[in-house]
Amino acid sequence: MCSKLLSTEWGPMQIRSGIAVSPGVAIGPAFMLGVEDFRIPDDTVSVDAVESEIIRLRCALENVASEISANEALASKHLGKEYAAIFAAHQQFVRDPKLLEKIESLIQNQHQTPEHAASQVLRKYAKELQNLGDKYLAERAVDIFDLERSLLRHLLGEQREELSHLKAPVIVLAHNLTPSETAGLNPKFVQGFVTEVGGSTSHTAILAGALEIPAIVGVGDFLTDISGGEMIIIDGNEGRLIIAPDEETQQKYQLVQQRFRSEHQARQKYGLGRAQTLDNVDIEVCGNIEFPEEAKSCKKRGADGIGLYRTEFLYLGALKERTEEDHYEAYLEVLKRFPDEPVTIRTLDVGADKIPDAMMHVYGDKSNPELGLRSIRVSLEYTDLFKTQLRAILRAAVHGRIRVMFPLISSLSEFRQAKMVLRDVCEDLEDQNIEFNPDIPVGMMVEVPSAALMAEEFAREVDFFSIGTNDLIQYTLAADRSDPAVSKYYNASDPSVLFLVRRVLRAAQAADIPVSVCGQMSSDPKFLPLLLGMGLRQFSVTPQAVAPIKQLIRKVSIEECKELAKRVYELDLARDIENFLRAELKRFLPEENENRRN
Amino acid sequence: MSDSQPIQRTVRLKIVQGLHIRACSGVVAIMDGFEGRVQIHYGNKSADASSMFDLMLLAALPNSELSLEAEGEGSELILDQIEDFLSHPSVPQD
Repeated sequence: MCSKLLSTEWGPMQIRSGIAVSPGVAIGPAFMLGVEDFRIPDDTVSVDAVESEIIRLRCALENVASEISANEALASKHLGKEYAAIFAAHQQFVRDPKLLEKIESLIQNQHQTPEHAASQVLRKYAKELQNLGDKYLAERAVDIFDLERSLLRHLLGEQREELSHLKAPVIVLAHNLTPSETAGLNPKFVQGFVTEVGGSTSHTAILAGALEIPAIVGVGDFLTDISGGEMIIIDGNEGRLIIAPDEETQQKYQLVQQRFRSEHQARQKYGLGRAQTLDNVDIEVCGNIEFPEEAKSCKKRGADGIGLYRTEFLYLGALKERTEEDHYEAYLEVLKRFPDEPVTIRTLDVGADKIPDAMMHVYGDKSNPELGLRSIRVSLEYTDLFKTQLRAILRAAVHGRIRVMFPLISSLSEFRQAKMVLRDVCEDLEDQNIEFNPDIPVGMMVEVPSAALMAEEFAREVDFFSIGTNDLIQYTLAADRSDPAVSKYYNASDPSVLFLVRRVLRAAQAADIPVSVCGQMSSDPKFLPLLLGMGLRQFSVTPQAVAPIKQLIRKVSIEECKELAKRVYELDLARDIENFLRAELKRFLPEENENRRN
Repeated sequence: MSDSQPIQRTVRLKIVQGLHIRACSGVVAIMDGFEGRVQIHYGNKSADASSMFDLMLLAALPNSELSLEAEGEGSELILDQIEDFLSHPSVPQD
């Protein structure tokens, strides 16, 4: 009954696909971001409020009309009558008797709110225009969306709800979410999100994993099909977005959701205890975190430590500079959960898609930010900022097993420069008689091809390596990790990438220094046997991956992994490698496939 | 008396761009103040001549045949005006 109503109200069910970046299933009403953050209330109006709601609609339309008149007068004065004519046409749209009739009918007969009804009717018109097969008329849909925005602005007025003021569970739909917007999502109300753009290793995607809400990115244009409030299903396992699902689909996904939750819970037990392969080789599985609070969930999931703490997230969304104490407290919070385990703190990795509001002035409109001033380059350019963080790290290191790691190192001189700043900070602290740990291990991320190529030289100077596959892939293959247009070029299975990873692992082994992989590759089960076969013994994965990765480690032997790796070295196409790894994974986890098929 | 009966007329659309936004806007402007009703039929689609949305969705192509149907006081006059407007190649700029 309910679904019948839904499908007539919202049009037929639509299924779209995108890149699954955070698993799970979410079902809830659509909340559109990007239409100037309008939250269209999806509740209905009571029968006795219908009259007053219709008056409210008419007032809003009247206001929009006078706004257009004002614009028309301005255009006529400054641009000439030719341009003003367009506003006259817009005026006629607002005053279209059919428009009013349709919106009022939805309010009167279906008791929809004016916001909802107006949005729905206008979007339907816009869509019809787009489907006429006339390019000129299709472009006029933009005018209709404009009209919708003006009308909503007048209707919602003071009632405009911001994302941060959500009071009920929703599914967030947006063209794009910046990492700071993502970080600001309240998982209590935001059950999942879907964006039109974005790639699987963009920072937004990483944050979705951290928030533990199902998410899909890179779906392509879909927002124009939605007016807000529709029932939405996100299948974060398969990367499917379902708009206005029919009853059968809803029931199916409720079951999938339940099963995912119970499997998820059952799986947690695999996280506990150390993970050893069948031939008794001990493997360390640490967690990657963005916020100190995540240390708790890492601990619960059985992480052997923190392999990557992305500290820049402390800055995102913050309007002012972070102080040494802000850093220090955040680090202590992590140490509270991992007092005796390794905690690897990566210094600020800002730039590209992660620019804190407080640092916007540093970045102009750069057309190629991934190759610009980002990460360690920012720290070396703005040493005060860098020193503030290093002081906090050195002080916190008194209380636990902290390691410090510099991101995006591309040359030996850069690493030496960063280390020099660290030594300066040690001297300052000593002069000031402040307690700190001068002996913390200093390592680097290997994520620029130049660093991987020079791994042997670096291995003589660093205390440890951590391979950041996300950036390594994008720089090796020249494919922006957050641009869906080049996502087919961004491929973790590419032999060139695997060649570089192998090179770094060998250099670390030869120099006898620890090495881990902290990029998405290490959280992806299909790469686990290969990485083990290549010689990797330390993994740092997203918190949700700790248990499944440990579970898989316990099912393989180093011997068979070495054999598998040898066969991969013989393949020269990314596609072949990927298919081979997938097939091998099925061999290791037959029961997983059984579950998937059901 | 004949005004109370619907009257019909066939017109060839001469506006070069067809029924695009400016042309629709012109028709709606003519309708302003007219108390009766005018329907424009194109192929199997129909539009209320006082509705911008309706007219745009006709997507009537240049040189196509439109049939007009009017009822109410002053139907003849309104159809004269609409016919005149649609039969000229360009939308007049006033």
